[in-house]
Amino acid sequence: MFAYHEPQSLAEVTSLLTAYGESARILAGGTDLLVQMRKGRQQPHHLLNIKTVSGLEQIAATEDSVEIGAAVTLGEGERFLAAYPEYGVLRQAMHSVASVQIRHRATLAGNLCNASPAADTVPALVVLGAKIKIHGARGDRLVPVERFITGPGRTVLLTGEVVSAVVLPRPESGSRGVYLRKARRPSLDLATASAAVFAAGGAWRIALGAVAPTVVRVREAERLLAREGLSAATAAEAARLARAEAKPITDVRGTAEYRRELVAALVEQALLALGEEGARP
Amino acid sequence: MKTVTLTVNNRPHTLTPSPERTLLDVLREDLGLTGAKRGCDAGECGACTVLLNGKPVNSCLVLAVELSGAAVVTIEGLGGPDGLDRLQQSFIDNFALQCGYCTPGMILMGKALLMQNPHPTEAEVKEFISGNLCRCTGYENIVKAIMAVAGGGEGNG
Repeated sequence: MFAYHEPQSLAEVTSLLTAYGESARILAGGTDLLVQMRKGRQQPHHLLNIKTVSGLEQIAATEDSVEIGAAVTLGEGERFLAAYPEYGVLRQAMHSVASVQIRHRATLAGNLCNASPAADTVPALVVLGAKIKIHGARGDRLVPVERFITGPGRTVLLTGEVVSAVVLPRPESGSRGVYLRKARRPSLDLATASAAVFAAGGAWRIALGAVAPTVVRVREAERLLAREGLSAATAAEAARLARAEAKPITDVRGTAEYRRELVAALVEQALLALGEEGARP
Repeated sequence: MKTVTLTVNNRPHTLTPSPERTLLDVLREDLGLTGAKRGCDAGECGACTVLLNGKPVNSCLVLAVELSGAAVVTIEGLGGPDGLDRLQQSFIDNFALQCGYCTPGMILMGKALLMQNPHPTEAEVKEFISGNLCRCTGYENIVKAIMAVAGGGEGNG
């Protein structure tokens, strides 16, 4: 049993979170939280519905950034980003989450805060250089997505803090990315492994999902591609470097060995798909 | 306790649900609308699918207290005095159900898809309903039934 709250402002969320501490949880889409509560893994005494905070349901596009409010669903995000091909990698990742029904409730911010090593949107946000806007008692702070998640289910959020938005920097024109994932079935299952690649004006970013406690960058491969450009040979070498960077576990979705092979193949395929798009920087 | 006013199948309702109760609980237990089924209770099977403000959601993952001002459509809201909705009739014509447990969710997914995309391809239909499980594995006829209404023509096998 829990008490249900409908805060109207971020300040009210912060004061409720400060007052109730660990016994409070933020309710955004609820697609993870309600399931965890039903299984007894979480037993909050207070749920704070942030969908009632005005402004959090908005997406604001400026010259410098696209800011996706914490109550924006994955489905809404997907539709909005259709007009921004440079964010295609994130759109593909959002579309990979669960099912149509879940994407109509689940939020981008919630996918981050749940901090699953297999979260689809996180590798895409990492390659885009996204930042997380956090509201707390002392005001707002911005944290790069790579530093936001510290381990499975763990983030840098302090007591009283709430994510208010995900901020995507505007990449230079012509930037393109690809997100690929493999799961036991295409819908609803978590990724066994995933890879996001992004090319922006001669620079490359590669991030791997579900093969370590948090998302992993393959920096050596990024430098190789920046130095030598994209070719079948450098894509194969990037895949080899990704395999070496992965530190997967064995679980019901696959063995560690399988995950290493899988993530290497995903990186190579994603790079080659980018090359075919003619997006070579 | 919070009082919530919403419409279900265009009829207004005022409810005072305890916070842990879901939309599915309220539909089945308070409003007598048992078309939406409780399957997995975890958002993985789609048997509880309803339309919330025109969009399909798993009603087992929506708290009833969140629904102020919402418009909900369940399978009971389709069709009218003149008979069944075209998609309901198509499910009958195409033998698209066996035990029937997944059928309300499947039909509402078909409605939602056809509202946003009147002429989907078969691949689009399959992807759209991939959050709905049919334990009888009758997917082929379900896809045919939706395609038949989509005017694809391929549906009448």
